[in-house]
Amino acid sequence: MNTTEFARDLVAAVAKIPGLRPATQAGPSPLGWQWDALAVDVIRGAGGGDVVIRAVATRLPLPPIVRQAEQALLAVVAARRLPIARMRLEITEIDGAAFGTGKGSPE
Amino acid sequence: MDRGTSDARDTGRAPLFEYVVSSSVVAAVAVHAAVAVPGVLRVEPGLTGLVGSVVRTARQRIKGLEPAPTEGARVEFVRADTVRVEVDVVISGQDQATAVGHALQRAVAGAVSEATGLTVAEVGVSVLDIIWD
Repeated sequence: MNTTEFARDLVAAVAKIPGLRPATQAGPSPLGWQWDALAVDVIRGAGGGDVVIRAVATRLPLPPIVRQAEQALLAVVAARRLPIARMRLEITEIDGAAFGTGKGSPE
Repeated sequence: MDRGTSDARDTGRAPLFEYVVSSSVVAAVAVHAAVAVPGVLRVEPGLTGLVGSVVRTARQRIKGLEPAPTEGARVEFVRADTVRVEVDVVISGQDQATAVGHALQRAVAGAVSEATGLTVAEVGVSVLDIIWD
């Protein structure tokens, strides 16, 4: 399994979901690394790999967005015919844009 | 984090899909709901919340993110799909504190449930100050 290409496909799938974007680290990527791919962890195990994708929410509510993401991510796995046992989408943060404020402030 | 699970296995090949929502997300939803409650002047962190805020800021380095504020709200996952939320607020003296508190509990519980799909077991409200206009 080409992990890097798989991670890129997953990141691209998440980026296409309205209301989600990959939790890409800030700053310039050193030495040409694929920075976006760091939003994905692929853990290989005896029964198949586990995949963790970290994303930021830019819209609410989450449940319909997550359902859409599930379909897109499972399609990536199916297209590559990879032995993935478990896939987890982690919504790690929420952008102020989700509340209609670019720089959210409670006051 | 909360965990929601969707078993997408088909003929045993499709992976098990699950999603989790971080406490930061829940807290941001809670804060946004709280400040909109009539009688709530602002949400602000107590001493415990200040420490948590520093940790979150240090950890938060995601490209292009304008993180929604979470200061003043604390989240605990009591089960995989259930949270307890606490909010620290400053309220106006023009309104009855208990009425504001009850309204805030309803607003936060409803907002978190709708936004995340989580069950809200409890919303605790701490009134840090009352400002008389």
